[in-house]
Amino acid sequence: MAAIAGPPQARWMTRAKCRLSRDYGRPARSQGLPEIAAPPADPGPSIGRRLGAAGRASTLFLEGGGRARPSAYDPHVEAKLRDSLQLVVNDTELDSDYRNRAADLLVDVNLDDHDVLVELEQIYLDAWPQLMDEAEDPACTYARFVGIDTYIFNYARASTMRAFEDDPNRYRLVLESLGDGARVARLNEDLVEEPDEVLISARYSWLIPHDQVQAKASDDVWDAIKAKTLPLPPFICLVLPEDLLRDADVKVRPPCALDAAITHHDEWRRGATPNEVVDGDIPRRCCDLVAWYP
Amino acid sequence: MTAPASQFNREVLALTRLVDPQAPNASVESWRALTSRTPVHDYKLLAVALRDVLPTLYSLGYTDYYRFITRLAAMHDVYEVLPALLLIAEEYTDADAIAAAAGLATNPGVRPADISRVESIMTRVARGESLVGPAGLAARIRFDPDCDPGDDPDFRLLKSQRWPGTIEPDEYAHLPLPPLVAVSEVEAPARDLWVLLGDLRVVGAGVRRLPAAQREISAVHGAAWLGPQVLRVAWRAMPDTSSAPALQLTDTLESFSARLHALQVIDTRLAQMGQRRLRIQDFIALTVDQASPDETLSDAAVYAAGEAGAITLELAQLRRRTYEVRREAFEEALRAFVHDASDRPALPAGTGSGIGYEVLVAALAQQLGPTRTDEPDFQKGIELAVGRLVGERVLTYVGQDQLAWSTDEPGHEIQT
Repeated sequence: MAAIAGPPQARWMTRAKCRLSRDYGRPARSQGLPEIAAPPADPGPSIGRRLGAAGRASTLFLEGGGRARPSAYDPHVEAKLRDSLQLVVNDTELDSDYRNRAADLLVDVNLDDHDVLVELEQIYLDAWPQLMDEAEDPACTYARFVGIDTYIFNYARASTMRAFEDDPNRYRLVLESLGDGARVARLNEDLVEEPDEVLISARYSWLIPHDQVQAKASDDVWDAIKAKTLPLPPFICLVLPEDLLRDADVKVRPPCALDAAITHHDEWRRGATPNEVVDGDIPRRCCDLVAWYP
Repeated sequence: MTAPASQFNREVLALTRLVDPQAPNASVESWRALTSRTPVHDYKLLAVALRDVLPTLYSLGYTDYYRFITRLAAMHDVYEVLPALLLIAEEYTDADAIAAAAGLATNPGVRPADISRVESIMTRVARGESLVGPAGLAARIRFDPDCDPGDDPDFRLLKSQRWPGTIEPDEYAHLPLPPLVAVSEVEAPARDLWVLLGDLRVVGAGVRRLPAAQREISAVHGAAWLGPQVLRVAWRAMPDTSSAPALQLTDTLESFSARLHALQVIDTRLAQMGQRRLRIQDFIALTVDQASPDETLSDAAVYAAGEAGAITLELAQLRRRTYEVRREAFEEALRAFVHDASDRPALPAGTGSGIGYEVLVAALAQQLGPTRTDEPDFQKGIELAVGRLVGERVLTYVGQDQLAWSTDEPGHEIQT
């Protein structure tokens, strides 16, 4: 069974969960699943409407049952959306239904970008069960590389995140002031603690086999991954051993264009990064080491 | 023609949804995308748009994007979003909104009425009625220079950076703390304020804004917020009424070389103050790496960087880091250009979209030698070569310093 395949209301449950489980220290993690971009049936008297002068502009987005009005022409927005959709259309290993729906959207790109984004996410959601049907047990230890900002905002425990979220540069300087051993110890100490908490949510779960990068220097990691998926060094590497992934029932599969399009990684090409996989939500207990690549 | 605010707001909303919040350099890319589209005539529109999209993102449940934009605003001291954050904080006790609001409320541009609302929230936090634990402590430290951070070294560092005036300059420089730069809005050229704030973040500085219209702040509070470790930067000579040293910029930041020069000047001054140096190489790498073909960075700017001893080194790194298929296409096209092959290679669709114009120019110039770059034929040749490299788009040379991008769709020509 795939790691997680949630119901369409996941997005709205996420928000409810965010409020209900608030620990006043760290908000609950958001969607581990493909997000549902459709607006709520009743967006209600939106907080935008209670914003007074500021809110009047906000309500413009919500008129017409919560859908945005057609956007003004912005060549950047249009080009970015076109690239995302074209990626899906060109992926010949994807089900033709999804490719056709993406092709239909290409026609509408400059009419209403918000609706196109909503529909693109819907395609992803519809494809999710089929994609995860092809997922298999992990066959090796995997790694995910992130930058310091991402580590602080998304993977650090509450106290560390709150202490450094205003300026992750400060966290970098703290790490750089430590010796090698102390630095790795600090990184591991700062990882989110709750074992069952979603550490890496599905849409961000791009992984590569750890042995492909384990002995490489930071600059060479770029070559190993062969994509613009990393910031400038230093990197932080989350190591996810095979046995822990299996114990958590995490399944992996090769990524497809929909995975890339949904996060607008338009430079992704099938096969460009050998043995790259994606999967569902990965819980914290799957990570047993956080490594530093200066 | 002036774009109505609501139209710009829609574009900002779309832009905020077109990022991967966990992507590498997401904050840099997003900030640059937003600032480059901010109407030149009124840079404040960006702050207004961010204020207006935050409630929308929150109410639509785009949690990741809401948090991302909230942090983006907080990191760049966009205090204008405070009313939106306060509404979310008051209605939903949202921890991210309170955290960001507590930091932004210290800016002297904030309206007194909003300060009162933040104070009210912080009173509840201090009583333990709201936002308990490390989130509450962090928020109180950001808002109040008198808050005791306790023994936790992380929170002590947070206080030292938020309130640099509470510690000695020498002590600040020896702690793992970023250099601090405050940028004045007075007579700042259009958009340059946002550009400089973004560039300073890239090179590792902490930033704060000095708004043109400031509320009265207490001497104690102001001295703590703007201590002698903070370098004030402005486009107009500043009166010497603060303990913070000042630096006057003379140029606008419309070109890559001007931005690089500004950072170098600021870095030199920070070094004189005994503060930590800026990571200027990160600015060069990220700026060249992310430049799109329709960005107007001239080859002269690239040579300015080359003369500064930066671009050649970075070029090697960039080529190693460039997506493989693009690199192969790039090198093949480069060879074809250099050897003037009649049968020029076709590029895979989209492969040119991420190659910066100036990267190509630098590479081509490096191959052919700098002495030829002044010749008109060389300029034209480079521009035509760039045109061939952009795949589906066609670049037309229409005269010196004028390039026209056209797509296969009539009516979508973009002049750069």
